[in-house]
Amino acid sequence: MSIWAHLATKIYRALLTFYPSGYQAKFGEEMQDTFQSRLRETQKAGGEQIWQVLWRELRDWPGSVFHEHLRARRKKMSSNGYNEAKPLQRSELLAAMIFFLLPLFSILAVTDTNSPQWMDYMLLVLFWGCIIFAVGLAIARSVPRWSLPYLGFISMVGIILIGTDRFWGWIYPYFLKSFGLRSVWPLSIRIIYVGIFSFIMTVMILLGALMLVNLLRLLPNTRGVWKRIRADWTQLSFMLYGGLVFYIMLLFDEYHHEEIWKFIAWTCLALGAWFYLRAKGQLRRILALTLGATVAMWIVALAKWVLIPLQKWPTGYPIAPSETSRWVETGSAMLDGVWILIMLLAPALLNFLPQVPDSITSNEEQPAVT
Amino acid sequence: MTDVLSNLPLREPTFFILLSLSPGPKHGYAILKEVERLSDGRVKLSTGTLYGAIERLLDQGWICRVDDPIPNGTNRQRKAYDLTELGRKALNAEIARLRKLVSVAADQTAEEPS
Repeated sequence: MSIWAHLATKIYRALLTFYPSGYQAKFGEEMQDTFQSRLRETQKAGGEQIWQVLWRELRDWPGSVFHEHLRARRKKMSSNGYNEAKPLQRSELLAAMIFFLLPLFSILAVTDTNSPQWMDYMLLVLFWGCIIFAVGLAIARSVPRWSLPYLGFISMVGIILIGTDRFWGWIYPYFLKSFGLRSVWPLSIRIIYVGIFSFIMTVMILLGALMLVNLLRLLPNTRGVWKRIRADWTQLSFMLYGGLVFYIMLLFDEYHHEEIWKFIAWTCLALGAWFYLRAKGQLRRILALTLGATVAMWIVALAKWVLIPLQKWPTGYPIAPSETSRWVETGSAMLDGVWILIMLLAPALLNFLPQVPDSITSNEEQPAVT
Repeated sequence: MTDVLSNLPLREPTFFILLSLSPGPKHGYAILKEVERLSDGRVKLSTGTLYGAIERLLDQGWICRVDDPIPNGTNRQRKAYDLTELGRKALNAEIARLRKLVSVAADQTAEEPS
């Protein structure tokens, strides 16, 4: 072998190290053999020059490396879903449980009135920092199971804020204006009236989540995640379940002395998540989530019943701490619980639909082979 | 078969790789040379492109990995690739598609007034 062929082989070996490790293990030696055979033949024939062979490799190398990394990532994403045979790692369970402890930062930030303002800000920054870090890590690691509540939290914040601004914005002022009028309505009608608004909100969240999941289907890089969710729709329920942490925060907006109740409600959610992650079988998993959410919402309803007489809302605030408000707020929280139950069960019911071949995923585009 | 049809038309290099394996199993370098020969030197694959295509075809179940029947003079058993039943179906479907194209084109050009 000439010195040039020797050099070309060395360069080629260096280029191979940029491929994914699994690919290198599978094809590395073969590729090297094939390249060396090509060089030997080139030298014997004397027609094609060594540099031409090397140039061809160099020209195709960036695209080829890129495609192989992409393919390795897609494979990883497809195989990262629920695998009954694969035991759940303790670290995964811990990462999911940490999510349900994080809201404690928000309690600390707003309850201790003696603490300086900067400390409150720091706690909130820490809270959001942890959530954003976890979401970043989740995306980098192909959205593992533990990350679903974090994604649900972010999605719920996004859906509610965008919804409030874009869609809810035009209807909500009328809802607020009707407070005075509602005081003369019968109690049951008032609860139903509030319930209809929260039903619209729940349907909006569910539709938002389904749209988000379908967006994953359209993008080649996230199609693996879509396939996993399609294989077990309770994962979407689990994602929405994570959003309930934010929903409970909202339900106690403007309340005082509610910290312990929020903590108990979040603990119920955490227990539901724990059983969800440990349970085998889709039925048990969805049962764990629905039980966790139902008990959490009962706690919220009970909290409102207990807390309303203790509230010192300013004059002109739409809800006066009266006996009627107690019934309306508690009844609405119970009704919210029903909508949440429907929201969690709806994706899980998709598991029972017959699986038809997907028009996009069954016709995967082929990577460029030129 | 629906799965095979949904992957048609094949890209030219994929078609030539499958065609090169049609007579029997071949190792990587033999495939490279055969693709060049079949395409009259027009399609010259780099090893990266060849093995990328091989990996995809393995994933699709169109080809399979076998031990190379021809000894290579080393202790290491060289791997070769062979068409599977599914791969042969895909190749035949593509050939039929190309035949139909050529036939339509031939009919159309024959009818054109001179």
